[in-house]
Amino acid sequence: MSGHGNRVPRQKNLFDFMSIKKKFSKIYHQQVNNIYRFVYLKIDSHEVTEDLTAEIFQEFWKIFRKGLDPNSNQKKIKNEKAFLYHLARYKVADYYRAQPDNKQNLETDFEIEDQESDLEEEQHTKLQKQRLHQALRKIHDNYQDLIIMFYINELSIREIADSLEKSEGAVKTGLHRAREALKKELSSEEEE
Amino acid sequence: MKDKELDRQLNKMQDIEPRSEWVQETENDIIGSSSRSILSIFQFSFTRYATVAVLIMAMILGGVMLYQDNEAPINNSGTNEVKMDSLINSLQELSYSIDEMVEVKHLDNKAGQQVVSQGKKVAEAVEEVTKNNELDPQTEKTVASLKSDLERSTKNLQQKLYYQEAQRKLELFREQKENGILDEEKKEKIKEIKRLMEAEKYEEALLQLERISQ
Repeated sequence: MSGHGNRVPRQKNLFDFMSIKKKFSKIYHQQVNNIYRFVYLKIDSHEVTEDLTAEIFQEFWKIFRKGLDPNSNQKKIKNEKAFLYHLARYKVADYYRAQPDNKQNLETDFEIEDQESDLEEEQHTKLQKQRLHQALRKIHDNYQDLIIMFYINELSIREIADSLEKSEGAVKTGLHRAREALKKELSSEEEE
Repeated sequence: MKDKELDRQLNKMQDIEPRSEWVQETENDIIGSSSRSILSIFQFSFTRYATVAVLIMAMILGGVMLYQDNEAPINNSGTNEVKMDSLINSLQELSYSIDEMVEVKHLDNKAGQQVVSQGKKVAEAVEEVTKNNELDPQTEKTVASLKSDLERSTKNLQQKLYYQEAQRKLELFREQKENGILDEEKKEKIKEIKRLMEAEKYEEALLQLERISQ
């Protein structure tokens, strides 16, 4: 009991939908670019990436809101960021499972538009990106995840470990191998 | 390639970003703007909003009944698939609307109870449809999850109504106490009821308050 003798007890622990929406909105705006980038680098089509990223956040929202509802059996999400990557990995895997030939198409859709008007340096950067993206998509799936999460989206080792459900040591070893694999792929492309 | 150069190139990948319109549209799609707009139209007048919600539920119930009259299994008929899609969307929207109703500061108890009662009926009707029709596993899973969402939303609304009503009655007793017209026996009971409220047993608290009010 509270010490305020004749006061009516305050309402507590009832479902607070508006504050859940606000919390979701904050996470959404913090993470949407990163998740979009993660999916795009693995899928390579802006159209498909938009669809998949929307599905990832829809699924996240369903679980997130239930997790914060005292009347639901759903457990609260412990690490929202790690969980989003976890969902993204499954969503990308599902997408490739449904379209087995899709992964063989390694042509990137980085737009190289109006080449004449672009500065030479910009063109060079675009080509470098294209080459890096192609090399990235040729290495093992798990290595791709590690490179994107750590070097591009700048997740910590702990966050990656949480998302992949692996130890921090395993992530560090994996990152070293992933980087070597990417370098090797890039060198072999340069030789070609 | 040198490590520094690789890091530089990987950093440049951070330029990849979604379209800003898509970011906003997706957020609106997910956390819903339609039910919020209904709320703003009615300027948070809960009674009128609840009437709209009951109408939506009546429409859903109507849709659900149509299934039961139809002999064709749902997954074998294109028309039924379309109907099922719209039912699924309405169910989802309904849960969100009820969740938002819980947020309204002063709920009209009668209108709220009507929404709770209709919500329970919709959930029961959905259960019947799932039992009586051969739904494909994915649809069955979706419907089951939406049904549980609706039950949860309805339960939340019911809890809020119990809480609000109990609080209203407690205020009346507080006034009596301040005016010195509350006897010792009732004071003791109020203490007990407050403990129930603290323990979030709002329904039980309300029942006891009704008993001592008589």
